[in-house]
Amino acid sequence: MRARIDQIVRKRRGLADVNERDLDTSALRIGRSGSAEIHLADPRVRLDHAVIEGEDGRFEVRAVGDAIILVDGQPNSVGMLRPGTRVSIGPYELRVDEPPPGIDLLIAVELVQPFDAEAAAALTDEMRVIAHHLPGRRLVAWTLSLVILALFVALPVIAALSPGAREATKAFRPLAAWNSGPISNVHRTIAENCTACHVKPFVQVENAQCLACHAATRQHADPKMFDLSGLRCESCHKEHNGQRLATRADDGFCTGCHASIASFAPKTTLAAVGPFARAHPEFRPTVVSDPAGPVFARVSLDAKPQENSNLRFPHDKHLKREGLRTPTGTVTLTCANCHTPDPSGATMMPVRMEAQCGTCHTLGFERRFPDWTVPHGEPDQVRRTIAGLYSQVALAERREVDRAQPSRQRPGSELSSEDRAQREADRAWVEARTEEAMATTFGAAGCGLCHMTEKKPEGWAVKPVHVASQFMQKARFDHARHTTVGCGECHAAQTSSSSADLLLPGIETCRGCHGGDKPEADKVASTCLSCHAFHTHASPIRAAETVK
Amino acid sequence: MHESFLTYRGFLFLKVASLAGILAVALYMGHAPMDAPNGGTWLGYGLGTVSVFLIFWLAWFGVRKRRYSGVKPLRGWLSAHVYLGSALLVLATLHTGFQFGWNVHTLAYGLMLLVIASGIFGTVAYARLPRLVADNRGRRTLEAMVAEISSLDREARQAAMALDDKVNAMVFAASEKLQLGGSLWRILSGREPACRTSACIAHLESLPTKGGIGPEEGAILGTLVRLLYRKRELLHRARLDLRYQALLDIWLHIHIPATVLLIVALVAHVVAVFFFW
Repeated sequence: MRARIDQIVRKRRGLADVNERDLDTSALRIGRSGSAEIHLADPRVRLDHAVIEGEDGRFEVRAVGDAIILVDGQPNSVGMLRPGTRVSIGPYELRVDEPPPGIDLLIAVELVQPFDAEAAAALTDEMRVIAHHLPGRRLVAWTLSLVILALFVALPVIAALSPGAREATKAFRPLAAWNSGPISNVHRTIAENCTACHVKPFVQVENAQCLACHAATRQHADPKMFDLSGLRCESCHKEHNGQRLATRADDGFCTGCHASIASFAPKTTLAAVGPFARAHPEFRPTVVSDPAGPVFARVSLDAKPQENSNLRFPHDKHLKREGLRTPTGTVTLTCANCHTPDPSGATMMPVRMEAQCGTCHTLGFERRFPDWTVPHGEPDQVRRTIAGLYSQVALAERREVDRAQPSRQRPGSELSSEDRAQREADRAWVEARTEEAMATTFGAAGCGLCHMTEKKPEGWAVKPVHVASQFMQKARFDHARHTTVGCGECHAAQTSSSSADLLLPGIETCRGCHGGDKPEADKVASTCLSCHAFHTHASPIRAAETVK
Repeated sequence: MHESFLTYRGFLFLKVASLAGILAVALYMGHAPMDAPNGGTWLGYGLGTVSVFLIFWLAWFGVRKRRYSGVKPLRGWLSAHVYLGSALLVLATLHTGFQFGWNVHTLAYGLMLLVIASGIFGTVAYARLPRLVADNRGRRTLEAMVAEISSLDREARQAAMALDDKVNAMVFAASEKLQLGGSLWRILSGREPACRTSACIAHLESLPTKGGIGPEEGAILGTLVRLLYRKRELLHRARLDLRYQALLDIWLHIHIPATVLLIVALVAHVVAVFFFW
């Protein structure tokens, strides 16, 4: 075939250079290869891309191997070439034109998609300036600023000021974002109602809001003695710190005044108190200083106070390890046999004669009649009981005599002198027996074993008993919380032979375990409030007194 | 000798900041409020007040820096900004009393953490990266590297023109597009997992060394491989350069907007606290 190849090179402004070549060949090889008849010098073209073959005016283009060619825009591996046919090979377009005479095939070749190597290698700002990859700094800052102002300032302020807005935004809870911490458990019912306490904007919570509910709260000190004006409930009762309402409970709060209490209250009888571990005074139990009165006084254990209970009770004899002989056999007593805790477990129930002592100490007085007992009561009552028992004996004897010698005395008639004498004799007998028995009963082996008894002209008397139900009036001690400690570790009852012994442990015993609010590593932490209650005064707090 | 902002006046501001931090910690340790430690105790208010003034002063640096009228260098200011900004972390954290929640208060604290963290990142970047950048560039600019890559591409395309289609296609694909940059993460990683140049080299290396290759073609192949090795090296350095530039830049894109948001959240925090005092 005779073929003409027009290589068109476009220049700027659309001008074209045409490089014309005539060939006489059996086939036109198209490719990147230097030996190809139609040499397409572009890396996007295959070495051997396609071939054009044919004769007698019938020519076809055929892709080599799996190379891709487009014939009139259609991907085909083979296509007929007629004038007007366009074949795309890579970035080139081959156009078949009407051949001039003497030429079988005229093909115009043009690079229609030039490869811009410069553009491919350009360093763009896209690569270098990372701001292109990010939203604008100002846009981000302004947008999110507005979001913060709207959500955390505007919305809560509106909700705080307008109950209507608060109600409308209830589900959204805009004020929750202002909450500085969880509210205490006791105040949870008003947790969602901020304005229950926070009434005025930019004003601290006032006492009136507290007293609106806590109307019965009493003053914490005598308002006549101390200036309580200006004190705020909130100074000591802190909210928004979690489940527990924070209340001032540190020792410093108490010792702030009590370490030098005399300077605050010159007339006080209280001792100065510092930290428990080193500056708490020895305990001062309330004891009977004079049983006659009785006169009570707080006496330091350092002064070795004595009990003046008007009782005799040697603990050591009752706690003998080998046991005691009792009406029901040998029994070894423990503390719990006599001392039983009250229902709360904090203190001990009073020891009762009937319940505790009486199981061993029967109140008999007559050897012949061991089941005769007197009541644990007043001397008159005892005497009546004894006299009654002996009278029964006397009357019984008289009845025996009467049965042997029946005498028909009619009602209203006077006794015979003989009978009268007999009765006087019986009465005298009963009186004598009773006096004997009273002496036995109230003597050293009877009541006097435990009680202080004395015989007065008018009869036997027992001195009144003074047993404290609580020695520590100013503190509370909970036995129930100390059950892991044996009684004897605090109370030296085992070796006490006298009821005058005050079997109270001193402060050093407590310090063996308790170390105050800043304890050493091996001590239990205990604050003032572990034993002492915060003082309250009888007068109620009134808002007007404390709020400026 | 050049004095960096970190060593300014014998670590003057590091000492000041450390002193402030230690003082704050000491006060906090000795502080035993009746409630838990929080922003509302005397120490809490104190630390909060100091922190808020510190934040405004630190933010003022951003304004100060943009004023070019002064000729005095800002090295001292920067030194104070960096060290006192780090001290803020201690002061503000103690101010919180470690009470955090889903509220505006913790929002402000979180934004402050973001600002400080990005600032620390920036400090480390400025302290370490310039040397790495210089070492990596080796007295060339990025433009020079790209220009060289471009000419290497041209030569490689030329060399591949006579080679088989697979090689030619791979060389072309590698030169068709400058595989630099891309997404932000791509830039920050400094890597190109789908590097066509590397793929091309891998293919050439996998070709059998003997048989079927004429001496002429072998010589071309050898040239091509050398060109591509050089290109790969340059690409690697260019990517690292972009990575370093991005690292030097990116923290500010967090630091500055977060500072603006911090100030706004701080205002909201103060309003919230005192509105419901």
